[in-house]
Formats: sequence, C-alpha cells, structure tokens
Amino acid sequence: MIAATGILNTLIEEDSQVVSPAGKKFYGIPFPGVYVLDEGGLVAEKFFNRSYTTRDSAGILLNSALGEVLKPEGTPETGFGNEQIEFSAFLADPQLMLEYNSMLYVRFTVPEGLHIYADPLPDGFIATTVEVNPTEGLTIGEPRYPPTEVMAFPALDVELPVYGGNVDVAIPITANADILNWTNPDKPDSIELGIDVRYQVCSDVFCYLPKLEHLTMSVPLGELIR
Amino acid sequence: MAKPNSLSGLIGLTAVLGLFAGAALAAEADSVVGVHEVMDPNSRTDDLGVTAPVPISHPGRRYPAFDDFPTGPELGEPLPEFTLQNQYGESVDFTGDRNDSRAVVVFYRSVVW
Repeated sequence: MIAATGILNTLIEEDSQVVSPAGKKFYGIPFPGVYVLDEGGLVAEKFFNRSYTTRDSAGILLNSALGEVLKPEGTPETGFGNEQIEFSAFLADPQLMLEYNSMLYVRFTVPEGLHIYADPLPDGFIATTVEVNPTEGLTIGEPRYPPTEVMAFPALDVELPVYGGNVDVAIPITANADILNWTNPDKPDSIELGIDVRYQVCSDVFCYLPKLEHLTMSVPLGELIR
Repeated sequence: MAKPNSLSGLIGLTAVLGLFAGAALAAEADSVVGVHEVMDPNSRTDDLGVTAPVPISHPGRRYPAFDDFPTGPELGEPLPEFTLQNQYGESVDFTGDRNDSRAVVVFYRSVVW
C-alpha cells in the first residue's frame, strides 16, 4: 500500500539489517503524511513534512476535513470587542507540542453595515493585518488572509477589497526544539504569545479611527514524548 | 477501521494505516537527499534541533533534507484501491465501504516499532 501510493521512504536501503527494538526492519516505512479525501474519494488536501518528527495537529486535520474552522473546547483564546467590531484569537488545539504544526486563528466579527479593509489598498487606507510577535521556541508562519469582497465607493470613485461578517485569519504556529527539548531542564509549561491586530472599521459613509490592538495569550506546552 | 455509517454525511471513515513492510514496487530513481547526507551523519541532533539517542544516519531517523520528496497522489487524484483489516480483524474495502463519506488517511511512523 505504501509503495503503491508512491511514498516509500527510499532513503533506507532494502538490504539494511538494522532492526527496531521490536525486531522489525525499517525498510518499507513511508514518508509519513496525511491525505484528506472529499466525498468522491479524491485528494482534497494533503499534509507532508520533511521530518517524521513534524506532524500536523488534530485541529488542523479536522478543520481541513470538515471544511470549517472549529474552536475546540478548552483551547487557549483571548479577544477584544466594542460596538464596531469583535475579534477573538484562539488556537486550533488545546496545547502546542514539539513539531506539531498548529494554527492560530484571529476571528473578526464585523456587524452588518460595517466593513474592514484588506490589501492591496491606495495610500490613506488601513488594511487589516495580524502579526504574531517573534517568540523564542515558536516557529511562526506568514498569516493567511481569506478571500475578500470588492466594495464600490462611488463618492471616491474606487473599488476596494473589504471584509465583512465573520473573517478568519490563520497563522501557522509550531513549537520548536529551541525550548522543547530533552536537553532543556527549564522547559516551561506554557509560553506567552503576543498578537498585534491592526484594522479600521468603516461604513459606506464614514470611518472610525484606525486601531492597533495588542493581545496576549498563554499557550500550554505539551509534554515531550519519547 | 470501523465500517462507516452509510447515513453519515460527515467524516465516515478515518483510516489509520500503520507500517507495512514487504514487497514494494520499484520506486522512482532515488533522487531524494537525506538529512544524514548533508549533515554530520554521526550527529544525534537533526536540523530541527531534535536530539535522539541514535545518530541521524540510523535508518529509523532518515528523512529528506529538502522539501522535494515523493508525496503520492496530487490534489484531485484518488488513492490506490485497497482492502485491509480493521482493529477487529474485519476486512474493509476503503472505496466500497466508505459510502461517499469524506475521509482522513494517515500514514504514520509507528509508535511501537
């Protein structure tokens, strides 16, 4: 099955006599990964990483398979809200584990009649941006912004990309061996995450002041697994 | 693997496939470069900073040095047909028994090996 799928680990010699503690040869193992199949049995998404120690978390896989962003119960989260907008930041998983790719979501909820902007924009407009502060022990990927709508502003004679309603920005996040490793006697139980959210809420006739909100979130770190 | 409920519109089947050694079809030309070929093969710490009791040249630790390695069927393609036994010893035809449900197929490195 592994060879038929085309993912046989060819870095191991077929005649290698090295065996595992259980007495099994290593030849025949795959380049490990995950396929998410749609209703027709076709590959909708796949997750492969160079190292077998890197895996994609249950939260990421479930979100992919179900086609929606879930907020698991007990997952770390933080948020902010006022009359113009609410947003919450939460992880796809209850904790971060060494080399388990997870996802930080920042969810905006914009009331009807209001919108926020997205890049690219002309000068003078504030795009919605999410930035996770660099943190030792974490590998933080580039934010992934969802598709936008195009809104026309006749008075300005422009059409601009906007978001309205519920918007999820996803930021890949992985705990790495800088902190989580067996040689670190001071492995913490959690790590503090700083998130900067920049936005400007507008209606079709006026805009509120641009805002920069700073959120913090304590994220549990899972135990190392031998 | 448990047989899926035919009425389920959600994920009806999660196939977790362990490691199956044995006769393998001939792979493509071995163009994959291992981490042990670009680092000190005797190093016990890999390029991700993960340290283990055995060196990175050990067959159990070999993995690609670059992202260019085989990952099987592309998006929009099917997996090969297969029938395997579930944890109860029952044969499960992955295509026939999936009943048009979505599925997650996991190829993992066994935790007991």
